[in-house]
Amino acid sequence: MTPHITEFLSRARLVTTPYTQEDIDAAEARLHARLRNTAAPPPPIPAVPEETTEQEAAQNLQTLCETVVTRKTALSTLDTFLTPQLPEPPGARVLGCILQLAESEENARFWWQYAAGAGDPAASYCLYLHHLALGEHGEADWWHEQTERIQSALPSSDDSTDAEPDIKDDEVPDAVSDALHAVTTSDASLLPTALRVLGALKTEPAPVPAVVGAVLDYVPAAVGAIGDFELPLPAPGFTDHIRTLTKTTNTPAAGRPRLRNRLQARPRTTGSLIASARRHPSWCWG
Amino acid sequence: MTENRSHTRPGAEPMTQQQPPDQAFSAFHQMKRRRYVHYAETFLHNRHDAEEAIDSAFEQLYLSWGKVLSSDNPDGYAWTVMRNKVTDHLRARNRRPPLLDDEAFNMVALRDAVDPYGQITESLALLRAMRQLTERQLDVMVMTYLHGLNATQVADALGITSATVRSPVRHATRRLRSILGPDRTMEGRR
Repeated sequence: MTPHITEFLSRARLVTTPYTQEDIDAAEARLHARLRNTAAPPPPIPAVPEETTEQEAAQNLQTLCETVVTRKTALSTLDTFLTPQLPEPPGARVLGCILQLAESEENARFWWQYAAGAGDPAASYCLYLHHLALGEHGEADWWHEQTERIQSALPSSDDSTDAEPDIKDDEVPDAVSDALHAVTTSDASLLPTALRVLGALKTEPAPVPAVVGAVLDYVPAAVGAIGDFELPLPAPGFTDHIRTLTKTTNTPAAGRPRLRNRLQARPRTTGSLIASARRHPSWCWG
Repeated sequence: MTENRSHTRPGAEPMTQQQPPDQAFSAFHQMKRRRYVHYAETFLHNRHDAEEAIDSAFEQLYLSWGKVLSSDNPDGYAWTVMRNKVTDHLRARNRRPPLLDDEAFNMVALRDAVDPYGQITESLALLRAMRQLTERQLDVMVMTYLHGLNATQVADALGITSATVRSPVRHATRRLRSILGPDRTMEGRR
């Protein structure tokens, strides 16, 4: 510990006005007066629903991030983040989800706020789940409101920012394709349903495209708080590295539908799971 | 970064219903009131608003007393309820997130400072930097450094273990150091 921070902290004691026993008793009297008119407390009930909600929210957020990140267009969307102008909101959303999966929660939050501020409802919904999972109900409610506000301000569905030709992966049932499509379009009102569907359908591990896996491993190291502004900005060279990683998927052979990345032999299941899933087996697909 | 958010204290006695609900509740209120008011004051900046927020918190705890009693971690549950009430009161008043900044003028070190202006500048920089902490880190740092509690007292207030106090203190200190480190001025800039 450098002397600096220790000194600052040692001088941080607040002057506290004493809170006496009289104050406590007075407060208790106030409380009793206030509660006299209210009904008696209900009998004890078993496990608290709020805790379940927090766990559910965490699970849903995980599912949502995995979905955003493993979608075929994830990397091309991330590419829009790297344009010389301001990063596109969907790209920031993808980056946020990558960071969340890599357990860089504070950085994830930053980029979601950026995207949500620019009107991306999926990012706003991520923030709702993020705060709910942390038990931060005030914040969660606020972001839920924001999601609805963004939702109602949008023109009817327009997926032009990360559209791709309508390719159906043989192995993905229609319900999941619809859910995937809904999740990454502007229509966040389908998100809760999409998450339920996805959660129910995760019966076996889905191989993550190897390139996405590489991006997941690379991004958290490359995105750190640099510079004076404490923004979680990518390090120099990030753009080039991502372009190198992604250019292999952005050149489909003419006439052949773009399915999962086939450049490498289908990875072993454990090797292809998302980084955080490796660390939290209970959150694996299936 | 991932933190443990709900570590129950080992050996903590489960709350039973040997006393009638109001007696247990009164005891709980007696035990927690002071710490909660001091915490609320730190964010709301005056005693009156703090009392209102904590009255409101205990009202909610009373109405959900069954949940509190049957919770694995009544201290943690109550702390969360209290914290949310403080946030709600702040939002209702001025729609800002909880800011500590005003407390820069309320520091013990200011009373006898040789250079009051310098002291306020330092305090503001520190409190401003603390905005970048997570909620858990913030709570632990406020209780430890602004209120001067030891790890056991902080653990009791928040419903966590002493070990779960030390970890956020470490992370928070590291974070604050990176914001306010030796190669930066006290305003946090190079």
